[in-house]
Amino acid sequence: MRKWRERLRSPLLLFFGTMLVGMSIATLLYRCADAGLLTKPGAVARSYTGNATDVQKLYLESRNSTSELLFKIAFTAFGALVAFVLSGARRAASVERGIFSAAGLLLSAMYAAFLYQIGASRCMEASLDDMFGPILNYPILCQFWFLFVAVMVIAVALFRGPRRAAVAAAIIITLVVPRVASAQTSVGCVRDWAKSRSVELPSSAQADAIALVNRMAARQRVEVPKGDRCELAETLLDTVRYSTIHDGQPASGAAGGAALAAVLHTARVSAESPNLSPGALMTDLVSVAEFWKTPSGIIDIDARKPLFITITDRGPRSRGTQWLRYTRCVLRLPPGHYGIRAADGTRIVYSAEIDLARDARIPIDVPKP
Amino acid sequence: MQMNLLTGTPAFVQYSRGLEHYDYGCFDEAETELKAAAASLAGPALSLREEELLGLTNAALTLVYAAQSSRRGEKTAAIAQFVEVVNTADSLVKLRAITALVPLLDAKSPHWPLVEGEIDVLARRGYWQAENVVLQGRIGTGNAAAAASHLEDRLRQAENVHDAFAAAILLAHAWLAAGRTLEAWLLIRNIERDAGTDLVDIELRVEFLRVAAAVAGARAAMNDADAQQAKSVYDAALREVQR
Repeated sequence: MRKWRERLRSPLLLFFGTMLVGMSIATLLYRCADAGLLTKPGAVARSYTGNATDVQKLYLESRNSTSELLFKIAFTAFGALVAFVLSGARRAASVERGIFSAAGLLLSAMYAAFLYQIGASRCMEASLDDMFGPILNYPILCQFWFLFVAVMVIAVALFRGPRRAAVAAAIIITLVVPRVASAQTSVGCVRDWAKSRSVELPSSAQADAIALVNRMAARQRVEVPKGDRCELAETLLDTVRYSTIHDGQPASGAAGGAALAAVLHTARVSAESPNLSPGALMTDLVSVAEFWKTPSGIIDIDARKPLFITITDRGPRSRGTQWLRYTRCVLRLPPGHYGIRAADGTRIVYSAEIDLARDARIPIDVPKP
Repeated sequence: MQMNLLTGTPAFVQYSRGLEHYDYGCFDEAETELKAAAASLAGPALSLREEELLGLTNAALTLVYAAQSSRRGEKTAAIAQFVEVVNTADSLVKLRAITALVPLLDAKSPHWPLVEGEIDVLARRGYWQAENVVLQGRIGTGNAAAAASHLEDRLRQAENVHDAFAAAILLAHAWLAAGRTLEAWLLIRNIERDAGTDLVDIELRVEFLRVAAAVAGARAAMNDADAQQAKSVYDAALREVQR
């Protein structure tokens, strides 16, 4: 009996065991996802032209890079473990078991990356709509969790003892938490934003606003420095506010806040859904978030009352792209030459041409009409 | 550009109807509809969007008054009223004012800098009426070849069927002005094949007939029998839509 127990705890058996369990879980989830596709094999949900929308392209690009990153980390960690095992150093049996179990999990993570690739091909062949379903999400989730558990197993195996484990945990927290925190928008940002727009935003809407901003930032892989977190929120929330006022809703006060709350909630649900609905507002939010990934400057326009703002790209190669907002508004735009107009109703009360430089901030205070 | 606001409200419906009447040259009917729209928007507490609709309605009314002045032959008054609308925020009312104003301006008019600045943005944004005005200006200054080259690029970058039709029709016009009549004629025949089913913009259809008749006329003058026959058809169609 003891002999069998020893055999079961042999590192090689643990390696194959964890690998088989991991691969079985990944395969099972993939099969379930494949069976629950939005478009059943042979059935046509909508005419398939093979042309991906911008949102589909952005989504697939984001998923691909996530899967690739996780694969690279798993591959590198696996290589490091192999080198560690071949180094010939004497290790305790428990360390040996931990390393071999982690190696099995890392191979499972790499196998999940392979399943992701098959899933992506499946979407390309059948229906691009399916990419928003679990067929691409499950393999990535498997990749992440197998990798995470493998790292934890290695950490526990190598840093045994409460003090060492505490040091390892502190290192992980120091490395991971600031990165996560840097992407987060605080309640203070949203409160200040609402106050400067004279909008009385309900507290539930504040939570929706924070979740929306963080989700858009995560979805578009926007890494914003700590000092610019509130500006990211302002640029995105001003887009939502424009959409709300454009629909004929009040611009300020409690009524404005209630109207904005409803739109923020819908936008949050859309942003958190795996199927990013390609409506006008979400498309605008995606394009606003994209500017945070390129060198840009900030235009901050304020006025005594809400005015209709038109910002026109007047660069020599521009096709006259326009951004529409209501004051007060903050926009982040690429460096270039812009025409700015403010209108009260349809009466133009302010008109100016500006040159926006990289990392510049241009505040504009529209005088009282 | 188009302030698509408060769709479905009586004021918005009346405003839209007013603009439609204007497009068909029924200025009195347009005036009645727009005045009704302005009256239904009269109130103490207008929302921001209602204020904008009221502004648009007033701008459209000025546009109609300008068109009425122009029809009566009061050119100076018409220009002043059109310029008033050109000075408002971007909208389809403003686009109509610009396209109506340009033919009234002589070469030394002090309003050209204002008009050119506005047209440039509208043309870049793909409003074919504005592009047409720019094209006429280039043809007038002997730059038809450059205009044709620009429109060839524009046709290559067309984003949808309507955009492609607009660019192709303007290109045919530019080629005609540059003396490339055979190319213009071949392009017109090509457009004609699909225009019957795919060209849904009424204003653009009329523009197509105008350009097609001009190109066919130029080819007919070179004894092109096919063009001679086509010209009579285009002329008849033009008379029909202008009736």
